[in-house]
Amino acid sequence: MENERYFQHLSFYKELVELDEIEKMLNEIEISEAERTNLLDTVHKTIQIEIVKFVLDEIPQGQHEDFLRFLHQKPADESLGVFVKRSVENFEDRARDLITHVQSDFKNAVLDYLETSEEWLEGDLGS
Amino acid sequence: MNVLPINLKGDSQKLKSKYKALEKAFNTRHNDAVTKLLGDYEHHVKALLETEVPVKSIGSSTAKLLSAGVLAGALVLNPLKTENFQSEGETATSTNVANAMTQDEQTRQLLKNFAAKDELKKALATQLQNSLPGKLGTLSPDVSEQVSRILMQTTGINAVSELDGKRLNTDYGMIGAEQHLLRYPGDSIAQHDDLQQSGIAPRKGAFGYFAKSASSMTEDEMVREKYYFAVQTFRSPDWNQNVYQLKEWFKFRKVVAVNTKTGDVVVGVIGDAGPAVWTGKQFGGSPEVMRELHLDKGMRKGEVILFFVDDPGNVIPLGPVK
Repeated sequence: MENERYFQHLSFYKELVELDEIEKMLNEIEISEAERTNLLDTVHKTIQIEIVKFVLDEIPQGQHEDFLRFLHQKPADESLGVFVKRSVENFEDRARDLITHVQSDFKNAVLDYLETSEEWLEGDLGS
Repeated sequence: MNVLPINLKGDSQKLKSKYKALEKAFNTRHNDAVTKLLGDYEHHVKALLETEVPVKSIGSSTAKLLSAGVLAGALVLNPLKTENFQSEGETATSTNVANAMTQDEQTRQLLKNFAAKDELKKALATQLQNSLPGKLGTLSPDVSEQVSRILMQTTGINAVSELDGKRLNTDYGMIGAEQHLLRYPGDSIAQHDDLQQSGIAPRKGAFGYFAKSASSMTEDEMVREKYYFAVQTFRSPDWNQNVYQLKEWFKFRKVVAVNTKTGDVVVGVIGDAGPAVWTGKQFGGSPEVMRELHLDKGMRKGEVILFFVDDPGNVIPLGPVK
């Protein structure tokens, strides 16, 4: 149960989420499955926040309340996808770009970590 | 989007494990997204964050999301409170409020319409599937009455399997795609404004032309050809005993078809006789009918209910029922 992937993206963009690269990078690091899942879920949650902000940025202010209410009441409803795609110009391509950027940020964090020596992380270096 | 300067070295002295280092970096990126969202939409989102959701009232998966302090989960799960939306000191003029309400109401209606339309179609399809027998054919009186009731409740259309003592050979059958029909002498496919790729039958339909000429054709006559059905009149009860009277009765008789899988509904008229028995199909639909029933791709056939529309005042328009 602890390792179970529980995060589910909102239906209107979940088809655009592809995180093969970050998943592969995390698979190559020596951490437990639970830790790997936790890190990946942070990535997924961040994507969701970014996508919701992106939509809010694009739709008129007067529609924010209705959009968020609909998001809350019917997160899996296909009508949400219809509304978003009609209201946000070129939504799918732009959302896909956004997801790619978010994944890049996390990939860079992993690369930074990999470049750091193990001795240094364990504090064995001299002062 | 800027890449966060993930500075592991600065904090590394305090980190005890590989995982903790990565977790900190990942959380930093996550918190950055939260901060940006809050920065721009504090009024809306803060109301969500500050709302306490009783854990008992939500499922276990959503409880995990909230316990992890995930904003995304809160966005989805916590209801908005409209009284929190007006910030302190804000004065709403009557014009601004009216404009805002109109815009909000339009959006509300837009969202409701999308949701309602899909839900109604799904509900209709489900109810029909629960009522219909496994086999195509003439429905029993009980099932027929049930289907009529379902259609009245969901569409407002008084649809019946028997009207004026007349019936078709079947009311639950397979419909296939037909071509356009000649609407008047000299008509051609080039003069049809839609779905020309479906072609046009080389001869008139069983009930003749829809109009006397191109110049005299009315909007009603044009729409009849758009939404016509072919039915096997020659197999209807008493056909051989009463051909001329029945033919006149069936001509442009208003009917309604329901795609039993999708809940799509189209009102049209009987515009031709067919299809041939050997095709295995019981009904035919014009190109526009098949498109609105969402049966215009692939095999271009599907299961439908076809009932007469009891509309003595002729108020039910032809076309898709939205």
